[in-house]
Amino acid sequence: MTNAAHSWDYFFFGLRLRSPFLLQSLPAWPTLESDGEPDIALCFGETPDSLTKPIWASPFVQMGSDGTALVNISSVARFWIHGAMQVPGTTKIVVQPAPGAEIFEIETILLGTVAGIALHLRSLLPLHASCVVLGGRAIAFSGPCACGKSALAAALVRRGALLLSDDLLVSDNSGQSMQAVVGTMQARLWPDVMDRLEIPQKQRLPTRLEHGKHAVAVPSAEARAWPLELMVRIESAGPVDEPVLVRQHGLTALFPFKELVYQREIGRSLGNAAREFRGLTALAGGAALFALRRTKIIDDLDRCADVVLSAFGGGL
Amino acid sequence: MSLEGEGSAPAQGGQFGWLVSYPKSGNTWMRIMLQSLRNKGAPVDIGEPIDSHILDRGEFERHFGVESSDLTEAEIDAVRPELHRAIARGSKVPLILRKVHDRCWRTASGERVFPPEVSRGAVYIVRDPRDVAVSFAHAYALDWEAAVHYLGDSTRFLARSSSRLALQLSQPAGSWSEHVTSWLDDAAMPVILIRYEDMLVNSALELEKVARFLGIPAEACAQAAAASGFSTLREQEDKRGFRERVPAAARFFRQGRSGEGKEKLPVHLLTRIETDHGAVMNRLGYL
Repeated sequence: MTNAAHSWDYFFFGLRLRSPFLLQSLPAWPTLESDGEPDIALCFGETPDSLTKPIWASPFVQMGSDGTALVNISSVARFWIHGAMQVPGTTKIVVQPAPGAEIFEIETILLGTVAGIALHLRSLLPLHASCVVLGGRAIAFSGPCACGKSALAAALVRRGALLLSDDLLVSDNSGQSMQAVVGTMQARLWPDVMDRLEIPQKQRLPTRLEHGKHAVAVPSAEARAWPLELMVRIESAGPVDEPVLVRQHGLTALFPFKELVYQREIGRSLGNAAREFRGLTALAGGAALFALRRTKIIDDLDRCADVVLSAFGGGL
Repeated sequence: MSLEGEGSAPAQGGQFGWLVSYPKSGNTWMRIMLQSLRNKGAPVDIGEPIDSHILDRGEFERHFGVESSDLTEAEIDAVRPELHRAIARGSKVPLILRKVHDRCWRTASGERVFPPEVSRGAVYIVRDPRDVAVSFAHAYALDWEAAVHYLGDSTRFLARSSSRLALQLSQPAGSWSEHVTSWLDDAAMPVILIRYEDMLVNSALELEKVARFLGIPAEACAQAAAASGFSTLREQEDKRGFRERVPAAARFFRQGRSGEGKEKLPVHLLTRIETDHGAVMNRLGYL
């Protein structure tokens, strides 16, 4: 990790991010050279209140026509992303903290909403998925909000898998095969799941003030890209006796895209539709696709993890 | 206002038709009938997702581009009106039906969460709170005492928890009485009142009232009601299950009748319900 002029370099979903403050949930940039320019530079500073004539806007996010973006979580910080269209070059993320905001809250927003936007701006394809490494290969879990992606990944890590990324996953189809790029080293979990996994209180780190979701540092995969050979969509199937894995085929197995692509509307506002289609087509062609049908993940967490392990965990 | 007069105003021009009720009051049954009606009376497969669902986190995230589970409840609550406006703006269909268990509420800054300007109107389905209490107890594996207490508690929210992540956004329900009066007296939009007990007597007729109120072609009401009978839904649930069943409940479509509360609840709980809700029960003809 580089510590020149009080900055640290991190492996940020395959990009090199330089930060003026310590980040708990990203792996250090894996090489020792200290003079390389980062892909993304984080700094504290003034940000605009709003963007003029945004091409996409919500109460929390504005996307500019010039490759800028503004994320405003008023009790945490404003994040102003600019320079992202000049690739190669450094994308800048200016952070203006709100009074009383904690660094861990800034990190939470940075590695979720802000990261997704920055990745879209850098023309990558962020997926709404959690991912672990089992026996040397990556297995990603997708599905609708609150379906248990993070919970299942954490349950597998408790059984010996390594976390590759939680909730936000970058897949890379630029090479010969589909790859999953290491993201965060922490699982973000709610108390019901942490209790089920018997995670001690002292390992539960806050993500926001007075908030149920906590970050838990877990054994993680080495910071690089791993072959993404398996993709499992978690589905609610009504009452079923046992969770079951069902092989799926083709692009339709990734439907609906609106659930699979992280902040898909933002990517599309940037004109990324064709790139998205190419990426998802490559994913459907390059990874074996499965549906995991279960009733309710928290009740079935152990059995779901067992089903996945027995199917794919030969190396453990 | 008399019961006869309530809800007679025609719906207005917005896109949202809110299908509102306190939980366990017949909302899902009405949703299934409406879905059948919009498919010319064809039976609805309840093993598949039913239209007109409650707002969820996925919609919030798609419309706002933000990770909802990183936000506080207060941050989410503050933008609920804008979420409804964004959904209306982003939809090409003239009528968006949505199930609602919220009471009619406002944000901390006083803004209406169900904005009148995007609302066609609200269908308010009401059921005798004594029967609601029994059904509620079965659905959520509560004892009757706890269920009756729940109905009288002003501070209740649905899907709000700091210990787990719920798919639905949290919904302030208030007490049963507050829920009823918030919609009947302060919705700032046309409201039609439908009684569950009347649905049991003649579901086709009540469906037709709702359809005309919302501006849905009503020709197939009889077929839709027949295809969505309680025994049919029970049979479907037995064979294939029902996705919206709360895991704690043995089944979703259970008895579907009226008068069960008066038969089963002990006297002190019947008295408690009348104490808590007597004024509104009287107004609705339940006392």
